[in-house]
Amino acid sequence: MDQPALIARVLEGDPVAERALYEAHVDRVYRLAYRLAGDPDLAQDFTQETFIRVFDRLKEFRGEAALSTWITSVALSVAFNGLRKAKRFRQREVALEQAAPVTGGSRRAEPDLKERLARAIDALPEGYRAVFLMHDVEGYTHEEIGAALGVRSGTSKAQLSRARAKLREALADFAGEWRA
Amino acid sequence: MNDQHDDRFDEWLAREAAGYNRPPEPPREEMWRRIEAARRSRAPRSAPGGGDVLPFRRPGGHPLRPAAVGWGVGIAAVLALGIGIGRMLPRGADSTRVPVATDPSTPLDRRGDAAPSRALAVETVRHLARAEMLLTAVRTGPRDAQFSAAARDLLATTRLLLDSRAVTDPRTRALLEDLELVLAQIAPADGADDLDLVVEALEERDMMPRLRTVIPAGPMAGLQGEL
Repeated sequence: MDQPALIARVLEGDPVAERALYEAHVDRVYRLAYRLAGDPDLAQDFTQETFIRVFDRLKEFRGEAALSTWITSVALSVAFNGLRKAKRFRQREVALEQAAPVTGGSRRAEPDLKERLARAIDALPEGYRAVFLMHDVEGYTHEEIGAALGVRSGTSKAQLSRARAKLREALADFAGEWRA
Repeated sequence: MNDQHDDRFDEWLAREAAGYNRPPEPPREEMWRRIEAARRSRAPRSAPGGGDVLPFRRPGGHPLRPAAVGWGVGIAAVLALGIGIGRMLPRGADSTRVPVATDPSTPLDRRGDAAPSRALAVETVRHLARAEMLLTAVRTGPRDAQFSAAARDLLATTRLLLDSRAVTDPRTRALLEDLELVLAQIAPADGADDLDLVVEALEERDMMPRLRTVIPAGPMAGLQGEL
């Protein structure tokens, strides 16, 4: 079934078509939600809410972008809003970690590289983080990211560049790892 | 040379970051069941003339601001209706009803079957959910000048609820009274020190756990009507 036909059937209330649309996009939505949330319960909540909105608002989809891009934009909106509410927990963790004493730059006292990388990604501004995860981790193109976030692809590229620069700066004392 | 280092870093970064929040297999069936259940439960809320069935927050909108006005108007209208009906009825005697015993522990105002009471109970929970969102933002910062405006809106609604006879549950009334005090502190707050004092007050009064006890669970809970 092609996309316009699938959409038409979903709009008619066909449950088989609804399930087909869900199956076609759920993995991609869940992956993105999980990458952003890092928590299975939140990722499930975001995914569910995304599809509930998609089904309710499908009549507003004009086909100007790919359906997958439109669904991604809904997923990002849901995830950003949900994460803002959950941010308190993340900030508490970061505050506790930052409060730990730092001694002389000894590598033994540093957390392991993966953990530092994870924390550095967590600390990126919302937009940079989304672009970085979508492009470098999930393989979205800048065109897809731009369409989903409602920005130009050039903006997506610029944000990715800034995100990488921030990560490079945050991980500077591990430079040997990638220069080797 | 720097470009070469940058390229190496980018390659290394992409490789290492693949393990960041690595998703497990999606629980497709479980999520689908919940989606169907949620859509079924929300469907009756659909108004025959159109309008949003679902509670959407505007994409990219600030979680505290976009629906504040419409939400405030909505709750004020519901409250006005409830209070108006309450005032029109003679106190202590209702000639059209047989008195029915009620359980004093019933949360909010779920006694009786009047639509305004149910609407008020729903609006009270939504009001508390909105307050929780504001207080969460206040606690975590960054400091935002919009806090005061949002707090004033919420304060007005809190006082309307307290003035009405809609909320009869003592625990909820006590929560609203404490909320009124905290919101009254936030409304004029104009500096980080002021808001720090508010945060201390939140801790002392256990506001967040008490709010969450009243608000149904879930990341979007309680705000389904205006997100």
